[in-house]
Parts: sequence; C-alpha cells; structure tokens
Amino acid sequence: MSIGNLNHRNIGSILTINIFFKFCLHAVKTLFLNVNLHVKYTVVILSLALISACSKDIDVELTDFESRLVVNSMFTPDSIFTINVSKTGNLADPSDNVEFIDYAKVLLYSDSSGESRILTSIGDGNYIASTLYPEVNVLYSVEVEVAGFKTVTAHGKIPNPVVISSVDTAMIFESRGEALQVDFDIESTNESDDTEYYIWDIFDANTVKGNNPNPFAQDAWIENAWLNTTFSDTDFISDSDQLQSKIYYQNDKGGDVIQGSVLSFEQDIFNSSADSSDQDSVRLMLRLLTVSPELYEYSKSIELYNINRNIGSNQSTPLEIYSNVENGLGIFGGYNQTLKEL
Amino acid sequence: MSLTILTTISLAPLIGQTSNPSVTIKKATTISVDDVFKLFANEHQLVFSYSPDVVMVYETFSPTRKKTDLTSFLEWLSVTQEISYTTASYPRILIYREQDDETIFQNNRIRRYGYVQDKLSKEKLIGAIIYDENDKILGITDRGGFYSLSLEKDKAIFFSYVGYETKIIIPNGENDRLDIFLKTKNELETVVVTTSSPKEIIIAEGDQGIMDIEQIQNTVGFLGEINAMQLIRKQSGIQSGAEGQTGLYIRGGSPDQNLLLYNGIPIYEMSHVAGVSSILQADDLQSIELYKNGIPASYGGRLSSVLNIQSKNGNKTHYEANAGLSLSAIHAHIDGPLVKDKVSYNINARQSTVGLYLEPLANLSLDYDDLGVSYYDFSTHVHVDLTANDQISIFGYTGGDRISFDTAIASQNGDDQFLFTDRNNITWNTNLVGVSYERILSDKILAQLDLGSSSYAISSRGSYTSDLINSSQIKRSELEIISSTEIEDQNISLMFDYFFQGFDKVSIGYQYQSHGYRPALLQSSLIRDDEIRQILGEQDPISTKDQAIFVEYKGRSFAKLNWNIGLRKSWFSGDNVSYRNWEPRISLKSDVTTKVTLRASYNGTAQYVHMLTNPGSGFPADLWVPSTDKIPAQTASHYSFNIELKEALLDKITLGYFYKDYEGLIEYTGENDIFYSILNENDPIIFFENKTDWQSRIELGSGTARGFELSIDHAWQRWNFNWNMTLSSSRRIFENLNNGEEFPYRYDRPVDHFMSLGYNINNDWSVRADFSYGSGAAYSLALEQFLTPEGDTILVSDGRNRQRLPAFHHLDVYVSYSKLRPKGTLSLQLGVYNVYNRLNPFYVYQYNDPVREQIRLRQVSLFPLLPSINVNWKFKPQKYRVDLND
Repeated sequence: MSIGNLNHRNIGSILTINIFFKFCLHAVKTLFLNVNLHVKYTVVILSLALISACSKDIDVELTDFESRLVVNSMFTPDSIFTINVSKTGNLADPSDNVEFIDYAKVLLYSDSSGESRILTSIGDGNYIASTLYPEVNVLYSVEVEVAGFKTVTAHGKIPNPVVISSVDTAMIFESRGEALQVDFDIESTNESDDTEYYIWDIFDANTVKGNNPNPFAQDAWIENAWLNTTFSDTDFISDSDQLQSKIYYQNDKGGDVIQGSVLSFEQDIFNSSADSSDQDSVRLMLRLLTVSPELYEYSKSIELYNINRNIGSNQSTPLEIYSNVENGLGIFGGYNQTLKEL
Repeated sequence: MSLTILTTISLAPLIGQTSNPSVTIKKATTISVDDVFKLFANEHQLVFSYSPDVVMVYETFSPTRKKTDLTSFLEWLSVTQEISYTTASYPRILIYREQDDETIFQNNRIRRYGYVQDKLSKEKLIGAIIYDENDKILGITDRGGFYSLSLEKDKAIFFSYVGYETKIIIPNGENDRLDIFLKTKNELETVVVTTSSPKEIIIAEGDQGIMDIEQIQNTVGFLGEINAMQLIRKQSGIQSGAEGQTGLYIRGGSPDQNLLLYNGIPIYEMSHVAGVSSILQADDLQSIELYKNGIPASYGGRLSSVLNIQSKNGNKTHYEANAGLSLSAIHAHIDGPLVKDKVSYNINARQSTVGLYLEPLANLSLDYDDLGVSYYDFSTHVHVDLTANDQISIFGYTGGDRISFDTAIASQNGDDQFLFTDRNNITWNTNLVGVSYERILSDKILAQLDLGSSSYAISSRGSYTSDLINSSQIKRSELEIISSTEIEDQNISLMFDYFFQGFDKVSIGYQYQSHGYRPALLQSSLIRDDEIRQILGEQDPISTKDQAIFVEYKGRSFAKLNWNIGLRKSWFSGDNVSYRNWEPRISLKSDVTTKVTLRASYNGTAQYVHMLTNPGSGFPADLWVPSTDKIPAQTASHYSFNIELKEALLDKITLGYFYKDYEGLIEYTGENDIFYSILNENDPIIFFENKTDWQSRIELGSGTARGFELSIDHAWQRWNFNWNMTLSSSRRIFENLNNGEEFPYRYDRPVDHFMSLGYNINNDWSVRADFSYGSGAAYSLALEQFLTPEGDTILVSDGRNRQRLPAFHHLDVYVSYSKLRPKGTLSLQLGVYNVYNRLNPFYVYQYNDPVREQIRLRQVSLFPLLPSINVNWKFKPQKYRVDLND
C-alpha cells in the first residue's frame, strides 16, 4: 500500500538520528579545523567560561533616605498622658540608628476643652502631662516638632467601654482532646451606631508574661488557643482576625443595634494546663479592650508583623505597619480595658 | 472566467532613479519591443508589467536618435499599439488597454475570491497583501489565507507575500473563484540569512499585525535557539526581557493580560524555563498575529494584547524534514501529504538539551546545587481539503518545563554557625486538542468554527531550612510554600465574514469558554517528600463560563482612511455571580502621504480571570483565579496614537504614545502576602481554607500606564539597524495598600531599549549584535527601622515598590551561516549571550544572619556569559532538489 508518494526512498530522506549526528560532527569539525588555532582555543575556553558565582550579596543604598519621627502613645483613662518620641534608623547605614529624642517640643491639644499644653520630657524619649488623665470620647491631638525633621501630628480618642455581661466556662472534648470552652457576652454602652473595635485575649495571670502591665504585649498568649471562635453561635471569626496572641473584632452594629445589645462569643481553648485536674496552677483572665480604630489597625499589623517576621524569606514583601502619625510613624490612640477572671 | 496574468520583467532590486531615463540604441537599427524592455530593465532597473494579449512584444522599433528615452518610447508604443500606460508606480511601468466608454459604463466590477497559497506546498498564506498599480492596498488574506474582493475589471492587481514572487492578474469576465499560487523566491536562490532587524516585520500594524515568518525563522535567540518570542520582545512597547522573565509585559500590563492563542485556542503560557525558549517551534509556524493596540472585536478575554499563533497545515505535495541541534535543544520536524493535494500532516518535536551540560557545569562552578532545567514540546496538525469550499484541521499540542535549583548560605562567628538553604522548583505543562473547520458559503461569505479543549497546570515549590549550630545544640527551622494552579478549558468559536464592496468586510461571531480553576496555596513548617499532587489532594474546581458576541466592520473610505470598528459584548457567570461588559473597539489608519501614516485606536476590554503574583522580591509564584462575587472583572481603556515616517532620512521611523486605564486589579493584601514564617504547627497550613478563601486576602484597586515609543529601522548597503525604545510609567493605586498612595507596578519599566546592528558579509555569512536594556523591576524593601511602644524594633519599607533592582542589560553577538546544498540547506549559528558577563538580577531577597547579627540582601542571577551553537539541516526530497550548476 502506498500513501501518496510514500516509498522507501522518501523514508530514506527522512531524518535518522545516526546520519544527523554524523553530519553535525562533520560540519563542526570542518568549521573548526578551518579556523585559526588561536581562535579555536578561544572558542573552547569561552565554552567553559561560566563565572564562579551567580548569586552574591549586594549593597543597597537608600539614596533618598530621610529619617522620620516616631510618636507612640496608647492612652487610657487610668493613666496620665505619656508620649514617646524617637527617630527611625537606616538599616543600610550602621551610623544611622534608632534613637530616643529628649529635646522635642510636644504639644497636646484637647478638642473638648480647647486646652493645649506642652509636655515635659522625663528621659528615654518620654513626655508626660503630669496631671492630665485622658477622658473617654474626647478627641486629642498631638504635634511634635524637632529640628531637622518634619513636624508630625496625630489625633485619637478613647472609645466608650463595653461590659462583659456574662462569662461561662465548661470543659469539652475536641478532636485533639480536652478543651476549655468560654462563652461570654459583650454589652455595648455606646448610644451611637458607630463601629466599635474589640481586641481580647485570655491569659494566665499566674505567669510573669501574663502580668505584663502592657495589655498590647504579645507574649502572654496561650499555646494552641483560639480554636473555633464563633460569634452568635453561627459565624466563625475569620482566620485573619484570630491571630497568635489576640482576637480582633469589628462590631459594625448593623445599623439597628443600639445601646445595651449583646454579642455572644464562644471560644475553645485547647491547653493541657487548662485540664480540669490541673486548674489550681492556672488563673485564667479574659481581657477585653475597646480601642480606637487606629489602635485596632496598628495592633493587628504589629502582631502580624511579629508572626511573620522576615528571617530569610525570598517570598516576602515587607508588611505594612499601620500608622496614624502624619509625616511620621507610630500610633496615637486610646483604649479601655475590662478584665474578668474565668 | 478569463483572466490575464501579466509578465513582469525585473532583474534587480528597484532603486529610485530619474523618471525619464534613456538607453543607447544605434540609429537605423531594428529592435523588438521586448528587447527594448530588457534594455531599460538592465540599465535602469525598471519593471514593465503588461499582458501578452495587450502588447505585441515582437513588433520592431526603429529609434530615430542615438539615445532613446523612456517617455518617447512609451509614446510610440501607445500610438502604434493603441495601448495606455502609467508610471504612477515608477520604476514599475504598467501597460494596459483602455476600455471604450460603453464598456466602462457597463458593470465594471467583478468579484474574485479564494485562497492565496504556496505553489509547492499548498500552504495557505496568511497576511498576503493584495494591492493595485498605485500601491493602494486592496486587502489582506485572513487567518485562513482567504480573500474576497470586489475589483475593477481590467485593472491589474498584485498578490504579494514576503519571500515570494509577486503575482499580477488583470481580472475580467464574471465573478468567480480564483485561488492564487505564489512561488517562493527561495526555491532558486541561496537562502540569505537575514538579521533579526524587524524591518517591515509588522505589516499594517493596527490593521492586522502579521509577523514576518522568514525573519522569525532566522532569529537566533538565547543559546542558539530559534525563538519567536525574542523577536516579539524586540518591538517597542513590549519589554525586551529580563532575567528569567517568561511572560509578555506589554505597555505596562501584566503577563495575564495577554490573549495567547494556539490555532485559536487560548493557552496560558508560551515561554519555557525562564525565557530560554518558547513553545513556538520555528518549523511549526505558519503565521503570528500580534496586536498590542487596535485589537479587533473578534478577540477578547484579555486586556493588553493578542498573540495568535497559527501552525502549518503541512505540505500537500511532498515531504520535507528538518532537524536541528543547539546548546539548548534538539528538534525535529516533518510534514508532507497523506493524500496528495488533499490531506497533509505536520509533526514537530523538541526536547531540551541545555540541562545535559548546564547542570554538571553549574554544580561544579556555581553556587547552585542540583540545578535542573528541561523543557519539551510536541505538536501535530492534520489538514484536510474536504472539498473546494471546505477544509478542516485537527491539531494537538503538549509541552511543559521544569526549572529547579538549590542555594545555600553559610556564615560563622566563633563557635556559632548559621546555614540557610532553599530549594526552588517551578513546573508547568499544557495539553490541548482542537478542531478548526472553514467553509466558503458563497463568493462573499466565509464561515469558521473552532472547537478546543485544553488543560494547564503550573506549580512552584519553595523549601527553606535554617540551622543555627553551636557547641551545645542545633536549632533547625523548616518551611515549605507550595502554590499550584490547574485550569481546564473548553472553547467554541463561530464566526462569519461577509465581504462586500471593495475592501470592506463585516464579521460577526459568538464565542464560549468554560473553565475549571483549581488554585491552591499551602505552607507547612515541615518539609515533606510527597509530590505536590499528593499534598494538595483532590480539589473541587471553581467553574465559570465566559461568552461573547461581536460585530466588526473593517473598511476603507475616501481620504485613504482605513478603519476597523467593532463592538463586543461579553458576559461571565460563576458561583451566584454574573458580569457583563461592553467592549467598544476602534482602530483608524490613514496614509496621509506615501511617506506618512497616522494610526489611532481605542480599545475597551474586559477580563474575567486574574493572576495573583508574588508581590515580593522572591521566587515567582503565580496563581490564576477567576472573578467572583467579590472580585469583579478587570477592565481597561486603551488609547493609542502613532505616526510612521518612511524614507525620511531613515527607512522608517515610528513615534507613538499610549495611555491605559485599569480597573478591577487585584493584589495580595499587605499582611497576607506570600510570607515565610516559622510556626509551631507541623501539619500543612492551608493558606486558602476553601476554594474561595483567597478572596479575603486580596485588595481591589486600579492602575494606569502611559508611555512614548520610538522605533527606527534602516538598511544601508549590507548594513541594517533597528532600535526600539519605550519610555513609560505603570502605576497602581489601592485604597488599603501603601496608605492609599499610588505606587509603581512591580514591572514598571521607565526605560526599555533594544538595538540591533547586522551586517551581511556575503550571501552565506552574516553577523549581528543585539543590545537590550531595561530599568530594574520595582520591589519593596524594609530598611527603615523604628521602635514600638513595647520597645521592639520594627522594619518598614519606605513605600510599596519604591526600590529598584539593578538595571537589566546584556550584549549578544551572533554569526550566522546558511548554504543551499543539492540535498537541502545547512544553517549554522554561533553566538555569545551576555558578552560582558553581566550578572542581571533574577530576584533579590533579604535575610537575617543571626551569627553576624546583620540583615543582608542577596541577589540571585541566572545567566552569565554563555556561548551557543545551532546546527540545522533541512532535507529536500530528491524530486525537488536543485542542481546548483544550472
């Protein structure tokens, strides 16, 4: 049978590996033998001239790096106003480090009274208003001037507190074993329908870390906590809000929710130390913070940063740390704290 | 039907001369008209086009003076033989016979339609130009090689295709089919290896961007491989490449915004292993259509561009085989008839060889361990001429690649040692089958139906280990990140073309695509030995459907204005969501003079798929995801304007400006970028808990891109030069990223150059030097540190994508040789890539060396100075071999 012109001669015309390679060798040999010897060796050397390294450390210059002021203040009605001022450093320049600044002019302004005052430096970058306790729902503004830096400003206020109206605990069995289930209700005291921002955690008050006076410290977390946190029995808190040490929640209040409404949360803590047989060594506390929106965003971004601290990734982008300080970095925001022992 | 085929006398390339030249003929000599034609042709490179039925070439001419000028001779001829002539296309002289008034007022237009084909192989020639004696373009054959034109009777028209002899016809009689068969010039001439200078490479850009296949087949790319993508990247507005860059970045767009078609079937990847090669095998290519603006309404689904590859049907008269060996791959091709003049096939195969020598050399001399590079392609195509009016193609393609490499960093301080290793692996593969059916319904109507099914899978895997070793302990941390996308598509496309008077054509059509997406992103603090498929397990696909209808009107009016105006309506449906978009398209072209062409276009486009890219500086990890109820379509408005100047100091200068506006762009959120962390969990932590969880980890935003383009082509004697430059800006703005401020797109490239200088030493040898330059990619780097209220030191960047990688540039030199032998053609290319051995960055990353207590930045490069050699032999069956002594 033949198909068209197919016959043994045409097949013989089709490439065969042996013939092809013989031809290539012949062509290359002819080419090279006809070439000047010097050129021939040059070509051979070039063929092997791969460099010794294809990766290297490089210097990075921030040619337009400009150090910025950092203003940090997380204020609460229980403490006098304290503002910390420092400057940023350039990682690429060992001579340009972070430093506290004790010679700044720090001006604090209260929106309700119209009063402004210059704060006093007490060293290590701290400035205080010795008799001034911040009030709830009052908008405060700060302005910091330092020669050689852009003047920075920030605004913030302490939101209304919420009430933990009830707390129940029970031991349950999870797939991993025994767990402590905590049910608690939050009651808003805010008359308006503004969004409220909650940050809470559960810590062991019998530990050194648990007694850290800074409620935003992130080392008091309990291992393997935050399993299956639900809101109103049905909705799960998303992973992006259940971080390593705290849980973050925005109460949008749905428009119809008013003062006195209750939000119910259920949380399971899997912790061998929470075993019912070992309860005497543990003193669990539920800590609920109502925070300003700026402080909410800042705290969350800091915790994410610490979780994902870059230690060698080639897959990473630097995480953006939230700041409400104009022309600078840092956080100026207020909060209320509520504690309940479990 | 009767037709007249003109004889053309032409002995040399035409160069502009005086318009009334003369020749010396002895007085009182009698010489035939034919001999006079030859004298003028020899001495002044004139071309006389005439029908043998019109001119009596054996009539004798007796000059009255020693020197006979052209005008006098033509006047004599017109009187003695009652013919007319025109020198409008000087140095081409057209001689014809006028019709009397009665004939003129009769129906003086007739229709001719059919296919333009290669005379020997019967391959359809896509993009063949049809023009009249005034060089006015009447039409261009479509993607099937089809034309249908309403023509004036007895007016010569010319069929031209690069690399083929021009054919001239003078239509008369009745409407009828006329298939045109063109003879390739290369049948009798030695193949002159041209340079890669893309002179005239785009024919009527904006109308129909057909690329010169001959130039593509002579474009030697990286490591000696023929690589069409190299030529595509040399166009202005298209980034001229970067280390390891695989996609096309066109006018500020991202790689997912390019519609890549293989015989009309959309595919997702065209490049192999970090841009070393592409799936475009030179012997498989019939045509490449490229639109970076002025996209017709018949194309849709992507925002930035269209790249449509048509593979060859195969030679219908005889077998041809081709094989080649280069430092990057070995390839083989065979095509020929299964049934002569009716059924043909075309088979291509390629397997990379670069890994055979690169891997052991790299392991010996580079910082890499276990460098692995490989790719393969296999394509088949069967074409059947069912009847004179029906043809069908069945085709398939399978291909894929893999690149992997391990690196390690070590440092020591006293007894403390730090060792950080990472292992990287990227693979992809594509499989597709398709059927394309075309039918001539009448002399004015052509129908096309395309069906296809394809699958695409891409995965990347990075495994990281850090060991802190001292005398008392070894502290080890591990992390593995896997990203994977699988896509399965089914496609249907139906289109009708209606050709009406003159140049004009209306196309209408319907397109349907169904998709199944399986995106996945996982991380684990325990490195596992399992394959990615085993780790991911079974995933339910995200199913979506795209549909579109379109109407397109291509025409020409007075004032030399060409247009392509169209409207496309597309809609998308997914899980409880649907989107619809109107996509207006307009493209205008005006030959203001023979030397000045203006083009302007507007594209409204929509795209229902997104590619999430690793926004950091690290190893690429792409994820394809569809639009959802939370993620609308990407849309773009693209304005483009350019002016083309011919023969104004240089052969061709093109200046252009473009502006693009994007909506519906997505980026990973700042805190949920692909990150690397050491966690306490040992089980795989699924980044996307379910198939739609990824939606909560991205931001929606918009962007703009704008720029100026300059392109220069010039040939002088044996030299040829090409320069393409683009100055552009591509920005993004997202409310929740970078504090809501605008930032550069990662692949923003403010400056992009490509220059090529070639010299033809003789008919066999040529040399070429190519220089590419591009601004470094933008990335974010955290180098500013500050203190938190808790006293911790935090690193922040001074903004998203504010840093730049070092610029990408390299110089490549090639020497080419090609010789027609009795039994075939031998081609040899020798080259050196990156002559001055620049280490261009593939990516950079930051790492913390705990022993040195130092944050360090490390750059990874891929390709240093690399020589290449490519040997190619093209067989010709005995029947078609040429005796070079004739």
